[in-house]
Amino acid sequence: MKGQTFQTDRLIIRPLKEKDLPAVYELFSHDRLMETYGMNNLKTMDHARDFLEELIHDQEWAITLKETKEVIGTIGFVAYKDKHKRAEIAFELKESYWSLGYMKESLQIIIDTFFQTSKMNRLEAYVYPRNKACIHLLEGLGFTKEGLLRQYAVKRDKLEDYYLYSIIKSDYQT
Amino acid sequence: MKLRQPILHTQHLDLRPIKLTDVDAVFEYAKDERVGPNAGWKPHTDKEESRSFIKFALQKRDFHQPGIYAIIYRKKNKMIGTIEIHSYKEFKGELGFVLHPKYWNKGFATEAAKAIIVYGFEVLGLRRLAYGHFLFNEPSKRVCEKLGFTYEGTLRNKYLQYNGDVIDEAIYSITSEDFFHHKIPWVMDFKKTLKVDYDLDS
Repeated sequence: MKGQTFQTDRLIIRPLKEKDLPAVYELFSHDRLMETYGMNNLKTMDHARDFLEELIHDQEWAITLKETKEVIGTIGFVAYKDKHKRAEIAFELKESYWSLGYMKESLQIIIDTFFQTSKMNRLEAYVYPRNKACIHLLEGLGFTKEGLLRQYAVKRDKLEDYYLYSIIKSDYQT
Repeated sequence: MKLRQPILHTQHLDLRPIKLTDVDAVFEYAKDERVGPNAGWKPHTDKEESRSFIKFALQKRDFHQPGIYAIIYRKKNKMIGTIEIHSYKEFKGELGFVLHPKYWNKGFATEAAKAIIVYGFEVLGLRRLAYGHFLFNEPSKRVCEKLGFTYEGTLRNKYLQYNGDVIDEAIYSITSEDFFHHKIPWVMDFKKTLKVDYDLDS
């Protein structure tokens, strides 16, 4: 499914490209967005270029509005492990588009494709316990909370706990 | 710079870096069908597999990993297993061990693990030490409960076993706060019996 383009009612989700540099810089230098995402803000366009290169290498997608073609977020797999048929999903959305169902629309099509067309069996998402909006989103999509991982990562120079959520193929089919 | 790997002495055991000459001892338990599947690997059928494992183990410290310890049963001067902090990254790692079945149920896994936990927090400066066991592995569960790990959750279908079985994993952890704020009851007494020998630290 990597490399594919997806269409939903309001969105086109297509592979990120080099021309997305300004949009990626805007997203990943936004303080509040990066606080919820758990990453140091990109400080310069050079950082953004390197970062975008990684995203393209990992075959992540741009979430774009069908009408205006504006890039409003990104979504992609990290830790994609064929051997154990599992992957982790990471995503973020521009703050001005929060709470409008765009992220749900994006995740739904990615999850559908993940379980319907690939041999994969388990999709994970890591979320801060304080990120209520994301927790609501994941639970609404059928993710199950498996546990609280204490002091699991250092992000923005702070030790952070994470909830680990997952959806497995048998959840998805029922 | 390599991470420190001092020799650790406990009441019954010596923990020292694994060596190529441990190959016979490793093969003796690695060929046992009760051992590998609990940790996700196929029993060894050829001594060369045990040799490759040790070679791999010896490389770990070159990749900024703490390295694998051999567990020596002092009374018999016999190498009976391995223990390590694997998946080490900055401030966290995960405890893993393998023990010869002949030496199960004698408290040796717990004794070795206690030494490694102290080493993890006091020498490596960990903030989080994780412990995972396949859900079916009851003995491993008992070890981690005795060690004072806190259960965090069960990861469904986390691993695919070499024979195609889908495996759930239970995850536990000890945080630096648990360790240093006296939430782990055995630490104080155990440290009186633990000797950490830096002299031979390579």
